[in-house]
Amino acid sequence: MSGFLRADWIRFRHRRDVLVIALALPVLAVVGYASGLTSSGNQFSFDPDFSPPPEILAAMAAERQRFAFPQSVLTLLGSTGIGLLALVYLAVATVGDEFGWSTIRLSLLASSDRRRFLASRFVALGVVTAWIVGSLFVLGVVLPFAAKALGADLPTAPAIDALGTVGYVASILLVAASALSFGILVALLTRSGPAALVVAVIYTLVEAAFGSLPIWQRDDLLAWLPTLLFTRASAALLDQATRAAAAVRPFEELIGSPPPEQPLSHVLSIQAGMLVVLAWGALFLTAAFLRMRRMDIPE
Amino acid sequence: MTSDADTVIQTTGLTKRFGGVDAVNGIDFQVRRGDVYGFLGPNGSGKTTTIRLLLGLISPTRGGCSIFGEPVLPGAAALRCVGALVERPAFYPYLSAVDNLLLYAAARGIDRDRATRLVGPALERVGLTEAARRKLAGYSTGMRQRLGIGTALLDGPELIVLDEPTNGLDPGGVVEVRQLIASLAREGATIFLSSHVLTEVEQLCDRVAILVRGRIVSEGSTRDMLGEGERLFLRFETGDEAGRAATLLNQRDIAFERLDDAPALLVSAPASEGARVNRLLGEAGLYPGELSVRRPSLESVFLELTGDRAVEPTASAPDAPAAPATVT
Repeated sequence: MSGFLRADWIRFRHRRDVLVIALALPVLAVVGYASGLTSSGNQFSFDPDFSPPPEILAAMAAERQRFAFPQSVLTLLGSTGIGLLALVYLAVATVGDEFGWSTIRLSLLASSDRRRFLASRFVALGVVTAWIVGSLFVLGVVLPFAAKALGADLPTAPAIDALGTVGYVASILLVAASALSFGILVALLTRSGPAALVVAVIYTLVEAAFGSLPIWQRDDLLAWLPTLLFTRASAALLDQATRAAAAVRPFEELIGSPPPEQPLSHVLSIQAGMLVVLAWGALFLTAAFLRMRRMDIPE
Repeated sequence: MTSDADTVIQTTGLTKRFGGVDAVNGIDFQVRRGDVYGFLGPNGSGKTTTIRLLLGLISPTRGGCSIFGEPVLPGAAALRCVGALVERPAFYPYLSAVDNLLLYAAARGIDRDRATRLVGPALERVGLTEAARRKLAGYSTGMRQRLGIGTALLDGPELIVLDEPTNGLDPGGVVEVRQLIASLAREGATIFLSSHVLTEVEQLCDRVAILVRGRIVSEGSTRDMLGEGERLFLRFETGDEAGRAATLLNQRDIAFERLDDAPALLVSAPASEGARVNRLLGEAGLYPGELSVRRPSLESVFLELTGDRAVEPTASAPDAPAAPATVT
């Protein structure tokens, strides 16, 4: 296994897309943080004498708390959405290209242990995931202090829920692992990076359409079914987990508006959501290993 | 077919069906330690499919194969003792030759220090030292082929499987690769060489199998395969002498063929019968101006077996590969 991991290290450290994603995501997060912090202090108005009502000023101050430590950690981790898409791309590209370039043959001629080959690829992508999540976490800690040092006016933020934050990070990693498994499986089924990307997009659209069918609203039991779909369960889990970790009240609540209607009236608990996503991830990964074990390599 | 410690490759009823077509159809052969085994066949005869089966890249539909006595399955330990070049070599285009080899070595479980020590000589052996740091995307077909051979030989595997190793090489490269294979054979490596370059197989291989439409139509030592078609060529001064010789051979039930364009006969007898035939003619007062052995080239044997066209044996020195010629 260590040999395969060393081989993946050589593959990954020279791949431009891996480098770009691993470096661009933290950079984008920094840009997003700076732009969010700047805009949260500005109240645009055509009337220079306009003064917002006190509840709006309070809400703006509360919103600014999201950029102060320790709330900033959750704010930065909240930008993993695009990171998850990038991870699916990486899984699809790094496995699909093995078939596109026929290099799967080179790897399996070096060692025919297909299980280890796939396990090592999964672990290598997991390391990239850990790098992305870890760098966002570190930025969430460092950026508020850097902003203060540069003269930004940051309020004191309420503490975050420690257990909730652990749950949130675990949820991100779980969703990321399942997304990686999904990407690897699709790449193995299509034997092509570009085709796998198209299939992944189609799957997501079909799943969204399937989950929105009116049939699910007819019955209370049926209404739970769409929440079990992979992308819905993943999105709902991340949403629930971030709410549990943050101690800041939602912006809408602060300005006195009624909370937005939930897109689904049925929402799984965090624990149930984790189990559903874990089950999907295990299913994708098992299918990927079975496919890899049995497939012919005519490339 | 029995298997023992000297059996390196053994197949039993090996079959691979793609769609409704048997690409490989129930083939049995055995490669023994130290053999340089030639695997011949026209395009589409199933050579590369057989190699993929031997290397565990594809699974057989029926039958099976073993390497060093171990059944070939994904993850089989015996496959670690095999270095292979299959069809067009595939490499990571964004990596240099050095990195591709280091990656291969790492996946093979070779530690970093040993891998670093092996890569330089491997590239030198296939003449790629100067291009070692260039990315593969800029390599020509011939350079990729050389690197493929270098990869197959990287850690001195016990069994070397080469599928069309001289494809895409310039004439100088072809000679170099043949010399390399010959030197590996002298060092005692077991080599499985698939090729449609018949002279290559004839020069390098001591055993040969000929594959046609997924089936082995002939298998044995190269010497025996070529020896079966040996003939004695007798040239006389006049047509009359040739006629008398023909009558004599007929009386003795010795098969021969009379050539139309010369006072000559082709006697169906191996070289070892030359003295007896010469004595027989001498006793009848017939002294041929030329008596030589004509052996078939592997090409003529191959073409005869594959049924492409009939080719007669041609004159050649005993140790030289013969060029085919049609005699009517």
